[in-house]
Amino acid sequence: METKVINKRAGRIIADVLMVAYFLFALFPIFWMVLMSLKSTDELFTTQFVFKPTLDNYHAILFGDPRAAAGVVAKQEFPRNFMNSVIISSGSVIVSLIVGVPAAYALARYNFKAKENLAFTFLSFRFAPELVVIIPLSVIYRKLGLYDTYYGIIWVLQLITLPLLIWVLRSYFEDVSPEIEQAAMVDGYPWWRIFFRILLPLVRPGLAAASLLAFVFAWNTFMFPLILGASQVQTVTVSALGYVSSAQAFFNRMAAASVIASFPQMIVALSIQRYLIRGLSFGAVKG
Amino acid sequence: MAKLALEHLTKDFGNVRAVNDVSLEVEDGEFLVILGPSGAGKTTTLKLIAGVERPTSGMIYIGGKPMNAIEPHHRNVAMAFESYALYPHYNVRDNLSFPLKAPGRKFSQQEITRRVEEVAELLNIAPLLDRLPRMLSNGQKQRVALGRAMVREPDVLLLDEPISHLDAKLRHRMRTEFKALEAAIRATTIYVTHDYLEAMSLADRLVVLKEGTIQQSGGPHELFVNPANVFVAQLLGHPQINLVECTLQRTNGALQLVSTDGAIKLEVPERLRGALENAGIDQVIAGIRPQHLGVVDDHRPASNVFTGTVYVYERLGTKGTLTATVGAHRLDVLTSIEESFAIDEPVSLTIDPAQLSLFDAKTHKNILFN
Repeated sequence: METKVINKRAGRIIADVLMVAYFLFALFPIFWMVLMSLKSTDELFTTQFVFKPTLDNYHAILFGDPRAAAGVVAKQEFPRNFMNSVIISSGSVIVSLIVGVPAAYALARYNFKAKENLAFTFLSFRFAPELVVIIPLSVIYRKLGLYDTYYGIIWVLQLITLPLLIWVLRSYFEDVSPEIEQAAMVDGYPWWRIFFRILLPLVRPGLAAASLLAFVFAWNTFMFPLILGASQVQTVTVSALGYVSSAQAFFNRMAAASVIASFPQMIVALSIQRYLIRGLSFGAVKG
Repeated sequence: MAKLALEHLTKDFGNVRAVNDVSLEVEDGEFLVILGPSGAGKTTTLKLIAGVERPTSGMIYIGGKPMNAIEPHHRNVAMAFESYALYPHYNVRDNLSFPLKAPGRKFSQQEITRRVEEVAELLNIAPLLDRLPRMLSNGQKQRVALGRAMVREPDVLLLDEPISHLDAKLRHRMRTEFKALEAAIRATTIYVTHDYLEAMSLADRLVVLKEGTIQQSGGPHELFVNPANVFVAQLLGHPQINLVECTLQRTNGALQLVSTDGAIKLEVPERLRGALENAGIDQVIAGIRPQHLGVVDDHRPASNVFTGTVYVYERLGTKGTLTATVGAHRLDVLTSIEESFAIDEPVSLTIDPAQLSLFDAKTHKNILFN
């Protein structure tokens, strides 16, 4: 009896220790990044933990470098790049929602020719490495005038966000019994009211989880904005690279930029964490 | 309140014909029961009337107006689904008031509250009004589904197996309650069930459906006494009607039915003689209800008496059911509760030939319906 209790307690302690170990392992790069962002360039490559923290890097990327030597990162692009990232990521998610929700509904509800092929085609967009399509795409984009525009980047990011939304939401819609919709029709509601009052609330966890993930993927994307965009639509992922050049390497500023760039994802993730866990596991398991 | 008419209604799902040429008129305020086994097309018929499924061909009229092109939400039809189809994210109160809040229906807030509480009271779900559907038992869900259909005054009320998921006791209670509810439901009602007791007890008129085709329609007692075919005869009544394949024999001008194994001999009753002669067939299936068979003590051979052995005897509180082996047949006999039988004991059975039903052995149709 007593040994059982002790065993149980020992088990819990071991579990806690393992959890902390994993926590340190997973968060160490982030911790290191934050640390770097607070160091001056001289202290950057020392391993001593005692240093004088400075906000110069943040100041530099947000408002310009007070001690800048001429010719080095003349204009402060970061706030603008950050806004670009926000516009492109949210834009991608919004377009994916507008297109993906009806598509997911249709794939869940209606039987039509080559339905599974179509669904698989959407999914297969995620299979192809971006490098395979990027060169022809950039040629096409230049011809069409989509190069270095928000529309262009948002469009191409549908390759990443749309399949995710369609596949998660499809299984959610499949879980809603068609008879619930039929009941609402008989109860006197036209289809679009049923969609907003019955269907959307029922798939909301999936909607939240898929939108968040799509947002994060869009935010993190690097290759598409790098090749298909230039100064007009530069995102933070691409511009962070700009702090390191052959002339001078501002790893500390790059770190500061990365820290700020990770805020939106963290805020979104924490605020709908509840949905994220439920959302991705619920839709997958059919009752 | 309105009259409902179906004309040559047909619905195909791919290669499967779910509803086959159904024509039906339901009078204003009538309580019609559709009875059939699962897969008979009962639910599909209701969904066609509600408009959530579109007919392949045929017409639907409500109050004399053709409904085929009318969207479900403009039909003023209410339906309780067998799967309940409650809105999972609304509590019981919101589920019940949902049809009242539909666009185009102008009910005041007080009126909505009044009606919801009234119907909740009627169905004994008043204490559950603030619960979500997932917190309810199946029986409670079914009553909420029923309440949602009854809360407004529809032209036509469609009830799909509304008490099938209740346990046997509660089902019996709900059946009697339903009988009482019929007075409160003033709408033209179609009630679908696979339970013949529900059908017999509730129906003003009964329609038997098999594989999408109407087998017979009429008063419940009429169908019980004069089933149009073997299928209807078997569907109504428990224990099931006994079916004995017989050959028609003439001896000295008298008509006699002899079972194929020779063990059962029946005189053709006067009532059926003419029809049998007209039909000109000599292979028939005799349908004998268990309540029309009796046990006699006298084992001497006589007309309409045949002997066998006891296979099983069940005493079920108010009645006994004797299953006897007679030749190649197993016959069910209803007996009074006082009697008792031992297994394999010899037993003589007698039949009241006037109560026989005879069916054509080929077409399975009642010879009276030719």
